[in-house]
Amino acid sequence: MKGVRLYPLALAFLLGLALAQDGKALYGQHCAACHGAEGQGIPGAIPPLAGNPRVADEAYVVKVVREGLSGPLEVKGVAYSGVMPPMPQVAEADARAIAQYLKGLSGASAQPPAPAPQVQGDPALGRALYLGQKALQNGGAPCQACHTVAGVGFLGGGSLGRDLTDAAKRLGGEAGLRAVLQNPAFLVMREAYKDKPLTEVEAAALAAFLVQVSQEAPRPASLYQGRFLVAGLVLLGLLLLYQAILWQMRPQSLAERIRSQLRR
Amino acid sequence: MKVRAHVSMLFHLDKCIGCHTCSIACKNLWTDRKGAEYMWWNNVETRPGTGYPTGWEDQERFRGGWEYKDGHLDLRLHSRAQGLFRLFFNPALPSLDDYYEPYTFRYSDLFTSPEGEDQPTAIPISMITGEPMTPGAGPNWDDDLSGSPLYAANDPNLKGLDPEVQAQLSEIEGVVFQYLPRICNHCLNPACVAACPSGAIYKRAEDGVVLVNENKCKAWRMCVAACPYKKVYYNWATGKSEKCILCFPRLETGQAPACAHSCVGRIRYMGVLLYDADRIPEAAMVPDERLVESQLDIILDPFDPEVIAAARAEGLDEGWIKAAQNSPLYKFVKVWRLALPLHPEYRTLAMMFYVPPLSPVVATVEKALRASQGNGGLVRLDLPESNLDFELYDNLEKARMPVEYLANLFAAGKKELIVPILKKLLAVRLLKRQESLEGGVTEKALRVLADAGLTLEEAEAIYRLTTLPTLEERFVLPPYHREMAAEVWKDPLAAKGEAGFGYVQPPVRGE
Repeated sequence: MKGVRLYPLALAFLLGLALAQDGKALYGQHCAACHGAEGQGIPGAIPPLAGNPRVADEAYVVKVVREGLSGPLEVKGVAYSGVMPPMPQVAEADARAIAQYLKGLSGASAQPPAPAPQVQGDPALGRALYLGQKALQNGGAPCQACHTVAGVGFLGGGSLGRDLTDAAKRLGGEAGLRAVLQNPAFLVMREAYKDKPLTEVEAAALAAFLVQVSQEAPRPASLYQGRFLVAGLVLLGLLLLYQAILWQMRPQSLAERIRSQLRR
Repeated sequence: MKVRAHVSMLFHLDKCIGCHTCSIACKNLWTDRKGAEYMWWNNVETRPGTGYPTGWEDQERFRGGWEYKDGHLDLRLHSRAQGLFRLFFNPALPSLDDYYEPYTFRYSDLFTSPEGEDQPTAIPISMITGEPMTPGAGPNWDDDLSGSPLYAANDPNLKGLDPEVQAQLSEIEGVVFQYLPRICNHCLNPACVAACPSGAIYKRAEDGVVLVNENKCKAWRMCVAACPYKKVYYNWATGKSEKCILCFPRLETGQAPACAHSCVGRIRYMGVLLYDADRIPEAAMVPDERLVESQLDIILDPFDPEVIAAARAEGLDEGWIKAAQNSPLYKFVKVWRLALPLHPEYRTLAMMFYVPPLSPVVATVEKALRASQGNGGLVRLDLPESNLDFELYDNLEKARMPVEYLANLFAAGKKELIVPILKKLLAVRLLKRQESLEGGVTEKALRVLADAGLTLEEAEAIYRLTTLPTLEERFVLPPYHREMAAEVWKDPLAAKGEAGFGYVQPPVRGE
């Protein structure tokens, strides 16, 4: 009887084990976008994982994968201060498998960080792409649809995504932004751009634009909300006025016309 | 040829006295219900006047009926796309202001008022809100009794009339009016049926009665707007459209509709007309001036063997063919050509017919006479009594009820259709007058008769059916044989015994 009751539990455990086996595949799926195929990272923007002493602590890795990480950090003598988004969609067993895989990565086998392909980003082009004035080559939605940045538009951009004014600071400068843009780590963005990836030139341009924007001070969301409210009220007033004019102009029925003539 | 039978009504307007008994009979029978207070399936209008709902003939405002343009017959109301756009706001719909706010009187005040100096009165209260109100309109508010010529002056049918003639219509002591009783016209090409987005309205094949299926009605109210006669009404309590049903439960039991049966002046005739259903489109798609002719063309001769054979092939009962042959409608409409449909220019091919009224004996010749005598005021007509009638016969265009006005009502503005009818009616009247005054058929009367295109026998027949018809001659109703229909599913005796019992399915809003 007892054995029968335990049977499903045992099955689930075995299944979990089988899934956790493929740490390399999971790394490729969830981490490689930013940290590089070999865990080499991007110097100054995204810390390397290969040869990083912190990855030895499995519990720490699982925590960082699932809950994210932010704040100043120093790896191999290079200072980093980016933000790693939390990825709760990665199951704990998977995160553990990734940690196992990372333990096996030796810093030596990793390629020295390849010099970033130097495509000079054009901030003007980036601005046009951001606003959707110029379409993205693969048909992705322009950034403005979900994000807002300081200095663009009276009512700001979309409020679905985060304010990107300080994105360059948060996500590791131009190099980090390029990596994130070409291979987004964020759940919603990854889904949205899955079949419509940004090209290298576009990513560089957008990154350059966002770096340029990061000079400005971010504005509070309430500013846009306030403006939106005022604009809405003004529009409502105009509509009510229009309605009042139409109501005044409505044709009088013949019966009313005759009756008003009779009253006179 | 696809022969169908149509049960139609004819209104002999010369006999209408404007007593509204028909309206009351209809009201008591059908629309004395919640939500139907403002409805008058049958109403009587004073003409010239604006009618009920006020100004219903103004199709620029109400957009009823059909429009014939570039070989197309389209609803004037809207195209399909426009209909979708105006689904929830239809500016062509008449409002309660266009009808009237129904009212009753608080009779209880007569009994419950506290003792006082004055006699208590029953004050008018709204039947919608129950609050006291001052009635400002009614189903025949523009009657001669409402005390204002304004309603008459706004009659759309005065269009195209001489301003002088129009002014004369409301002149004191020269005022002229006629009555126009109206029910649903049970058209051959009904705009209400065409406009209904739910397919809830249909025309019964067996007798042509246009009915609303209340179980299918979804309250879009497009029928209300599309009907050019404004004879479909919206019941605000049940959320369904309603209309005149030609008292089909009475017809099926061999009785004339309540309005016709109760008519004091006996102006109404009921009968069967055979028509060719295949030729309805071609009848509706001709220029305005040929409309009446084309509609009368598709009404078939019930004595023609070919028609009878085709009618039998369509499954028409012998009794119906016989009823069509005895139909007073057929005589008035096709044989004597005395009756016309109301507003044929709406192109719905209305199947209720009207015999236009003769003017009062004293005609506008009076005015010409006055002018020739250099006398602006009122004069007694100094014409020999016997000659006066003939004077009018020769000067029909000067009749006190202008021929143009009647043409606008019954002939799409075509005077040539009204004049021969008035001449025939007048010729019969002159003949009978001469008979009683001179004691026989005079030479003069015969001359007039020949001029009007009538034989002495025809004139006699018109006279008999107009003035002396029996009930059976006025209402030649076909046998519906409902007992045979009952036989199919039930013992006819049991069906008769159980009549009135069973399920009642009241209409439910939104269903």
